[in-house]
Amino acid sequence: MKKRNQKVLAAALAAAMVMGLTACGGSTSATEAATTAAQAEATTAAQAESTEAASTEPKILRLAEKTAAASASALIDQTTSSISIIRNVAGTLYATLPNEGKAELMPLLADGKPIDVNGDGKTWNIKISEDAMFENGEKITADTFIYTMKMALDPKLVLAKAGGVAENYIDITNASEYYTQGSTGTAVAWEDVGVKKIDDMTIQITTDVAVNETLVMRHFTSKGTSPLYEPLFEECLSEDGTTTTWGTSADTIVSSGPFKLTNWVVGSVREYEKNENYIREDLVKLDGITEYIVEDANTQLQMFESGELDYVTLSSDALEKYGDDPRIETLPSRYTFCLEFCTTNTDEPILSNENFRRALYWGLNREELAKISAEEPATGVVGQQSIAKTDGTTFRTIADEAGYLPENYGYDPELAVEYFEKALEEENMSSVDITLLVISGNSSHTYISEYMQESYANLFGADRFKINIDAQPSAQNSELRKSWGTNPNAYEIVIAAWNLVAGDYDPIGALRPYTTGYGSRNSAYGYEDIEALYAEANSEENRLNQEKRNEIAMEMEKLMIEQAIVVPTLYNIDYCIYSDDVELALGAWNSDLSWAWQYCDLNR
Amino acid sequence: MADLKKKVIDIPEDILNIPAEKFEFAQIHNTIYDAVPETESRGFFKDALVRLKKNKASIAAFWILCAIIVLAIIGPSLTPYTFSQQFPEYVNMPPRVPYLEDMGIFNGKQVLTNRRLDSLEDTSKFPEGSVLGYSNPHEVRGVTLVDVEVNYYKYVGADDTYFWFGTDGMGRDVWTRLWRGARVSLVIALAAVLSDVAIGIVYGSVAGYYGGKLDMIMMRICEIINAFPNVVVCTLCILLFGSGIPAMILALMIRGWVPTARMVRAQFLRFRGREYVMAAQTMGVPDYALIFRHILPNSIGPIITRTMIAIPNAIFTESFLAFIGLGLAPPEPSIGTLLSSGQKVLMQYPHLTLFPALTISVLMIAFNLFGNGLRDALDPTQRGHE
Repeated sequence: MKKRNQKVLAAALAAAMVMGLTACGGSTSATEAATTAAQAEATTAAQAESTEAASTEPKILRLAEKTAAASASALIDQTTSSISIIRNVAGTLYATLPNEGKAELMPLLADGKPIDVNGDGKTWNIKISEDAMFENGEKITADTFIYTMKMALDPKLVLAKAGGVAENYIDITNASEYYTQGSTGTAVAWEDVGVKKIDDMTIQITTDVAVNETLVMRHFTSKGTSPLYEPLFEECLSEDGTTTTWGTSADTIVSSGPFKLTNWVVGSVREYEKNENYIREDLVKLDGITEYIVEDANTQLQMFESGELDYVTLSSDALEKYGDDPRIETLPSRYTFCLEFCTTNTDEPILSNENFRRALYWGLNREELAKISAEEPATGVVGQQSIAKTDGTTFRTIADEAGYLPENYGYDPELAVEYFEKALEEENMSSVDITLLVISGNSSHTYISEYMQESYANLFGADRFKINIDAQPSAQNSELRKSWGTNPNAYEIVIAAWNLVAGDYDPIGALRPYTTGYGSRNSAYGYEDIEALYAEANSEENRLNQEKRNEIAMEMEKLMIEQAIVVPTLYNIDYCIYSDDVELALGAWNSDLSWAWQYCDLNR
Repeated sequence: MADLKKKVIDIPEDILNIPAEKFEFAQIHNTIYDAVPETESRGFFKDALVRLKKNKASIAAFWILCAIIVLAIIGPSLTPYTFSQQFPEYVNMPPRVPYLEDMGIFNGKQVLTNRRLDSLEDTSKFPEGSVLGYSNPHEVRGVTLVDVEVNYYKYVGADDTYFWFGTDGMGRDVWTRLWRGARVSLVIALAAVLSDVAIGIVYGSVAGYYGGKLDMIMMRICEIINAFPNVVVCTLCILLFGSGIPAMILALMIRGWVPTARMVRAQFLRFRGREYVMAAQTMGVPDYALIFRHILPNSIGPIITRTMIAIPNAIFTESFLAFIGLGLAPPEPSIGTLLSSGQKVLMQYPHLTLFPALTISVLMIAFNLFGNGLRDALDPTQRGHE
């Protein structure tokens, strides 16, 4: 009897709760209705005064990055996500800026072009503008730049990008020797480095080799030379001066660029406000920029579609969804996916066999592969963004005109089989079984590797040629690639793509990773003819002669294809869409400024 | 005495007074037999089978399992394609099955979003008869875009081809790859579980039979192994040995045998003190015979159950590892690698995720239901109950 009572009680309670909940729900919707009504009124009111309201609403550009940034300082990190911060906060002496719809190299923090003091092209004076200041209104002077250069090249800090400050377009006297003295053991005093203060607003740069005005200007467009705010930088230095926390948070960076970083939640969001003290404040039309870190491409796309982002890059699959949308923009490739061979490998001596590599070069149907991966077939090594002439003509254009690239995108199955037979004969082998190292989760790598695996097996015979795919996360992949020096059997074949960083668009620069002069190259290389050509391109007489350098670059590329030193496969193509509200400063993408988001306008 | 009798039971006076010579032995010349049971007599397994048959869900699960296994064996050879064969001109094709297509499903229909309205007439883009209709016309920067419904097979010029479950991003047949993948997943799971059971039985038997210090040490070793998170162990193992079927089996095995060992040990602790064991010991039966002939068969029920439950776990772990990018090296598919690559294009090509996801779900549910049924059927406390 008692139990039964309990049951009844429980049932009653449950019923009461359900009713209570319903009642609550009811009242909520009532409130909601009221709020909606109120909002509707408010909206009407707002619309009535929209003329005034529109002008006061802040113009915030919303972008997304896939990865978290490591640093806001170009001296420390220059990966894609970091660069997007750096572009916003780093002012430089010279910069490419939008000028009447065109990108133009011009003085930014500097006052006028550099002056060749002695007329021999080795001593250059740069005057700093009276209006140059940090975000906090403090003036940027010659002392600021001397301090910046000193810290950028500091032999105790040895910052990741010190090399780029020491030598890029120009080699500053003793700069490399100064910052590497810790490892080389030769002491170099700061006084001997070719950076001097002339007066409060003038610095002097000396170089060993004669250079021209444009190269000096180009050198100081590098964000690594962006002024450091001394009081804060000193605070960020560790006690022994070997590490720094500069640029790791919104509080440890002082902007001299178009925007100031106001909020930075690592891995989540970065918010910028317009820097009112920016020297070319007149060019900045936005009130702020917000960058979200959204790892997943599909999520980014959804955010774009629901109007939460103003710009999104499209994967090849998303591209299919956008079909003929006229908003789709195609970016020229930043890099070329090439097969690189570990020629030091003692397990697979066939990797250093020229005919074997040629077989792979001629046996790849790049056109078909490009169709699958929505990229472009690559017969040459140098990427599409490499610029050959000052008018912006790309190296690929002049290379196509020169006509040394093979027809049919270098696909000739019969020739390939011939080379393959020859290689087997020379190496006295009956079949080849090699491992291809790729980056796991990278869709381009997946497409290339799986396509090759199948198509080479079909071409050369599945019993005679087998590719095993070894997918490793990016970091491991890179470690394996770079360790060929210490471990000659670290890998066999790898898909590698050399990303050009700003200031590296010169075609000779793009071929540098395949020469012994390049420290972090993927394989031994050291092919005599290539080395000789590279040295010739960088000789004093050719250094400033872009036309000659282009010719040498073409000669190098031709040789690389002939000997199949690397096997180019695809040019990486990026597709993207920006919102209709955005009015680009340049109207198009530009290799120096990317989309120039800093100077765009919003019409919302 | 008579008083006492009277007090305990009330026996009538005349019965108590029957003279002793009137009594005689009733069955002194007869043999006494056990009563013949009214129902059919049956052994342990037969009994289990009867109980299993009563469990409708388990039987359904069993037939589903059989169907999947048969498909895994013959499925890939039902199509003219091989699992690694690529058709670069036929990538991401929607599913199309003969006969079913006439019923309006699996008919290779696909909606192509955001196509130019003025390009619909262009037969070089949309071949004759490929366009079935369009919807959602909208204008973007002065161009009218529509969502076009097409017969994708006609659209790419492959009207006489059939990809039952469509194709993936490399133009490979999903049906062939799915069943090939199911085969691989099943083989990995089966091999891993069988080796788990083999190791677990030996380990658990030895620990349980000998007991004492040996048991203590062996069980502590088990606990130490068990203390490492499964994902960490598997990840390290695959990083170390590369991603192949043997490495995957090894990765699943390293920790997988511990529960079996524990369970077998518990069974041994239960049986080793029984009289029949003592009797055999007294008669000089060697230890190995005692372990494997006399005690182990008693734990066969729990072992079978444990195996059936462990298989879906192994399949799941394998898929999980594949999903986070530690799966088999291409081109070999497994359900996990198919899901992993399908998930990336879920928004655009749901069929690449749908079929593997359905297969693995059905497979896991079937294994679990069948395992549950077996557990109930093989439970000795249920014997005789129907």
